[in-house]
Amino acid sequence: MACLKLVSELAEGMITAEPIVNNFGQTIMPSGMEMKTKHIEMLKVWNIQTVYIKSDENDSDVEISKEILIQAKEILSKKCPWEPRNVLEENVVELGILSIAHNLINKGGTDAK
Amino acid sequence: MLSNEEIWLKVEDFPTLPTIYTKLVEVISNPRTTVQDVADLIIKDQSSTTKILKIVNSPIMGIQKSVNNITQAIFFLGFNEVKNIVLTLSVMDMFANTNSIKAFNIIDLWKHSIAVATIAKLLATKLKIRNTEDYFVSGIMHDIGILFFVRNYNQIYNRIFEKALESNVSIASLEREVFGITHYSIGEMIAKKWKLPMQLQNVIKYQRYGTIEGRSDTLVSCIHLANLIAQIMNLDYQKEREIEIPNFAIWNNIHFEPGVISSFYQPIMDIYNQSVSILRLKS
Repeated sequence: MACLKLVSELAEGMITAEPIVNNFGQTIMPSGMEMKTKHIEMLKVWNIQTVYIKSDENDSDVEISKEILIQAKEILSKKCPWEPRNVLEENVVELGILSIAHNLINKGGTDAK
Repeated sequence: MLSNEEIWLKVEDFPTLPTIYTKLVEVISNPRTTVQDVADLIIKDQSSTTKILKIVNSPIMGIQKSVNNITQAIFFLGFNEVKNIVLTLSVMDMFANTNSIKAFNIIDLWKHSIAVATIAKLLATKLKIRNTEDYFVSGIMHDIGILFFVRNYNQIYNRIFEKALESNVSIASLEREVFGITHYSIGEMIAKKWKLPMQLQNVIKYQRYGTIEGRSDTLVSCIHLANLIAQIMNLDYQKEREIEIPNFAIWNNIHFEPGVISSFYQPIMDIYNQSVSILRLKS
């Protein structure tokens, strides 16, 4: 599993999940590489802004229950009446479901963001 | 219906970009221009200098060392990015100087533009495209035509927005019915007036289709997709609108592994929230 981190959030010991490519299309760091301070500094010089890091955690910080996801899916289907035609469109619809699910959680929770 | 002449006159009346932008374009087009030359130009405009430093020092830029002077900022950002930032700041001023209409808040339109900009840049980064900053500024500019209608025809446009919601029809179809022209075409006219690059004019004109008259174009496809994602994530000024199915042709030049797009939720929200905070309009 990978998560996207801003360069300012990087710390030593994190491992790249994907090769890091600069604006010229050159690979400046391979995937599977453990970051040291000097690497992080180099990324800043290259003005790289985001990096995919290997993560053992779930992709989202919040655990979303099946019930909320079902509810979110139903809410979205009213606004988005079309059926996805390929897996990428399915993924886009999933983004919509996740957004609605997060909103439902935030509205229902005691500490709304 | 507006006559061609009336449209043309109103577009002529639309604000021009500030001198700093036009001078910057001129200076940058000279291959002998140095970072110091650009810094010397920008430093004459205190407001732009302050804002650029604020942006370059923000977490979304990922430069940890604090950048204290404009010369250093330009070195880190590069000329193209500096130009795009100045354009973004100019458009931001225009939004700030436009009154909201009853049907929607201009701040929501600005935030939607930032959302599309953020998402487009993220897509471009993941697609390993060069010049991702062009994707950001395309998102900022994509609905500039709407600003035109709000500034010039706010009462009529208000009714158009209300009708769009009631009858679930697109804003563009009502614009065509009432004005004879859509915000896509108006936006393109404004981009031409501002002498913006052709690729930006194309984005504004063709974003709805995702292709340039059937011809594939990655920038236009990404803005088409980013707009869809912004709407589906409710980062929209027209929150109740039905979401249109994307043009299938965009998938010819946008390729992701399954599941990658779904993993964008948190990165989009993080960078979007930070960008809104940095580019906040004074209400």
